[in-house]
Amino acid sequence: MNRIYLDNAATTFVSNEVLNEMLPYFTNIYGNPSSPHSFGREANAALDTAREKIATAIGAKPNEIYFTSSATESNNWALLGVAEYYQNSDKKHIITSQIEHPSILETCKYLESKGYKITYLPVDSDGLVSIAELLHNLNNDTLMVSVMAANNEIGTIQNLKAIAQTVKERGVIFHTDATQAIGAVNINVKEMGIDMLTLSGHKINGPKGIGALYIANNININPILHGGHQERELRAGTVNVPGAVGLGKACEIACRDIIINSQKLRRMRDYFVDKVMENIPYVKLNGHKFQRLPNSISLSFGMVEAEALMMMLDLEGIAVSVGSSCSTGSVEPSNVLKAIKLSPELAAGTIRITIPKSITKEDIDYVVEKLEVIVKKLRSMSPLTKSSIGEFDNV
Amino acid sequence: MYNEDIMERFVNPKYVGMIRGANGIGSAQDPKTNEMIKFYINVNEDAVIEDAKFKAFGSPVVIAVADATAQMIIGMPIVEAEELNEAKILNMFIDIPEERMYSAFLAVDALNDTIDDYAKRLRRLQKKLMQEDANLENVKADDDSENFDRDNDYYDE
Repeated sequence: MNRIYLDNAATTFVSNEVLNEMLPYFTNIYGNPSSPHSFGREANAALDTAREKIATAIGAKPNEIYFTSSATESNNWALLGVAEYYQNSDKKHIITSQIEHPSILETCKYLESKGYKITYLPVDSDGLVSIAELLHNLNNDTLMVSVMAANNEIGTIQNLKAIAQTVKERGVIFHTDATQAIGAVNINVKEMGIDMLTLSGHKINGPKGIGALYIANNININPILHGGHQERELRAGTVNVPGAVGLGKACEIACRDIIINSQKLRRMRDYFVDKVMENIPYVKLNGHKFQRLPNSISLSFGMVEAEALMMMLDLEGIAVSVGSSCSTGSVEPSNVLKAIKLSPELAAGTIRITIPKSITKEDIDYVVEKLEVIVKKLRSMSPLTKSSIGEFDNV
Repeated sequence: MYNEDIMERFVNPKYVGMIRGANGIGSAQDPKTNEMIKFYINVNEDAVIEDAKFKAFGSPVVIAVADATAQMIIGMPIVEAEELNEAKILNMFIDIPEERMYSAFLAVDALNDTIDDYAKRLRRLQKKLMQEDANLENVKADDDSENFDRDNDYYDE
């Protein structure tokens, strides 16, 4: 069976370029980068090179890049580390948005249980945070603000520079989770005024199990992992050297190819959406119409339940995700779809399609053909009628 | 993700559809997930469910459970169907993931709503029949009085 992978926001394959760069670090250059001997020094040199590549990709200095195990760890560290450093200050207020990744939202809930006040900024129906709302909530107690660069479910890209500058003007620390944005959005932390930034390897054709946190040199933060001097005393644990090398290479490629990839993906994404809208009635496209990740398509199918749709597509070899893959398995509707005020029935019928660079028009034609048949079948089984649910982009 | 018996019912449900002229139609919707099951039943004069069909808006498990429930109630006396609980429905499957077990509750709620609808229709029908009987009596009485009048007329004449 012809298999088509359309879940690239969940993870991506490791590209050959990245893999080849990594391979020597499993077998030949295997020293512990903390060791002072030549084996250790060559591993450490590899980390320096990787750090430089990541720093270049986001406009930071190499000594501001800290390797972690994942974006989840980076997000936890950013919030918990800053909160702990300032635990004896009066600043006990953190602002984030309602559409963040669970690694931000759950960490905020944890901090709430420790006495912090958290403001979850609402978003508009396109998924954008309002600067006015942000300004309104910033006060003298605000310690930090964390707003993601691009959303993992609906692909909306925030007005990052405006948000960062609004926060900086008030002297508050600004963190952004850029896991989905790297390679799709041009980010320069210095120009934009970003103090901390999370990124991850496996979303950009790099390996799993490696992430990084950029921490501007003037930002104070405590470690959350203890028991080693690694990463300038801030993140204990031997660094995953092959992973770090892979992340460095993946960032380099993502930024090198950003224009050509974005253009191609955008063309294919729009072809995909047009094809769906032409062939299947009662469909709604979620997220901002233009300010959206070039590979991301969030579609709500009226009268169809998303998990049933996803499973039937899977039986045809087509992999998509329900809302966001992070929330699959839970039966609760996604916080992002709730935040953009999608009707509950439409939220229940929402799938996320994230296309790869290699997709062809033939692939898209094939997927839409299957999608049309499956949606028709599920609608024939559905007790819902078109009048019972929300607004559609095509009727 | 799901085992074969769930997948088979999800992909090839045998009892999906609707029954025209069904004498019981009912549904239930899960308040959290918005999934929905709707049943159509035809109950015969002996109060036995002769035919059952379902429609569902829900996960593969919801569809499979609805299909199994429809199958199970065909041929069942309505009093027995009233007693059906989620455990009996879950027993029809080898294994349903714990976080999806609410699907069986949804099926029971939908079935109870369907049986309520059947009972309401039955009561309405009985009332209508009684009304018709009473009307018939009245008509008969009217007829008699007419006859009587006529008779009177006759006598008047």
